[in-house]
Amino acid sequence: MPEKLYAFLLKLYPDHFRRTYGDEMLRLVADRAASEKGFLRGLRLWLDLLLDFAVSLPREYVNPRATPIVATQSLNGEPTFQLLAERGPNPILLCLGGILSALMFWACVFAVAHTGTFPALFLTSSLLQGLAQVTSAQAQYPYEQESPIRNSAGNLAGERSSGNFASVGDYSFCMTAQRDIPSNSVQPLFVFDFAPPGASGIALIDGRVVKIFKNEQHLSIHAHVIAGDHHFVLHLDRPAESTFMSSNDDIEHCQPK
Amino acid sequence: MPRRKLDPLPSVAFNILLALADEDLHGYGIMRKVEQQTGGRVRLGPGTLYGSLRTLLEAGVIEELDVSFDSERSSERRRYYRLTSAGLKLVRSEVEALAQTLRVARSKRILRGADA
Repeated sequence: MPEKLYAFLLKLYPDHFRRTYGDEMLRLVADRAASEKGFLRGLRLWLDLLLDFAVSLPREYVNPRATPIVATQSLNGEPTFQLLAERGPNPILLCLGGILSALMFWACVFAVAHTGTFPALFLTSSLLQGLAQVTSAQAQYPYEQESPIRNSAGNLAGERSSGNFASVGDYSFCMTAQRDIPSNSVQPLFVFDFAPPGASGIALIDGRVVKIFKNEQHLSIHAHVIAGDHHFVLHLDRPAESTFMSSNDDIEHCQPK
Repeated sequence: MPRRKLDPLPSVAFNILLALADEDLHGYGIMRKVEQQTGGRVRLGPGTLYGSLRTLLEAGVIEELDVSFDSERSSERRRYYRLTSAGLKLVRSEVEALAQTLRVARSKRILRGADA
């Protein structure tokens, strides 16, 4: 009986020590148990064993045996070494490593998607746009100008112009003005489309039109647009045409908001 | 490095070396001999005994003999240990130091019943 209990305690010793002396230690306990019979002597035996266990176990871990790496033989002219211990991969640790790797991956994706600072480093633009479409909302800001428009001959060319600012995706916005003419048909006056520099991938575009002047020769627009943390001022002074495209030269990037 | 563990010589190691001074012994025999030579004060447990034997082996003051069959139970194999010449020198110097200490103690009449 003492041998079986002590065999369990032996498992707590370091492997190398248990392999070298485990059998001898068990034999010693068996010899003592055989020679020290009776309740008091058995009790003394166990007190000795437990005290010895408490003293020797920490010492074996604090002062481990220095195991030398011994060069053995050469294999194809290259030195080889003894394999001191073989230990297979722990399945629990493998699963834990897989879970941590997945968490790290999604943490990186989440950080990129919410900062927009490193999209070019990690994500393709299509993936980024897909993320942006999920997390942003489109907005439109209509404007209206009530003023009669006359041509060079003094005839009424239009009564009203209207349009809107709108976010397109998350990278650009367009401004479309339309002119109502007496024939009740609607003609597009101009289309403005640009990607605001510095706008992050998930910035919500905001804007408002301050003032619009239009006459028969020129179309003038002075607009303030707030895109994310950036403030843009739009200046347009073009001949009135049915449709034209603007360029970034018409945009003044003011100080960040 | 192991030699440094024996300077000063621990009491357990000294008793083991002393037990092996006159005969080769296995672990249980060493434990009994130490218990006998200390008047029952020291009973070495298995962890302490074999930890000390390992240290003494690494220091080269004892050596392990080939596994031998026990004379009483011939079916069981046991490891026997033997004092080396370095071990004998070490235990001798330790005994001489103790003897010198004993002489001083006697000269000071510390020991009860000591000769004047």
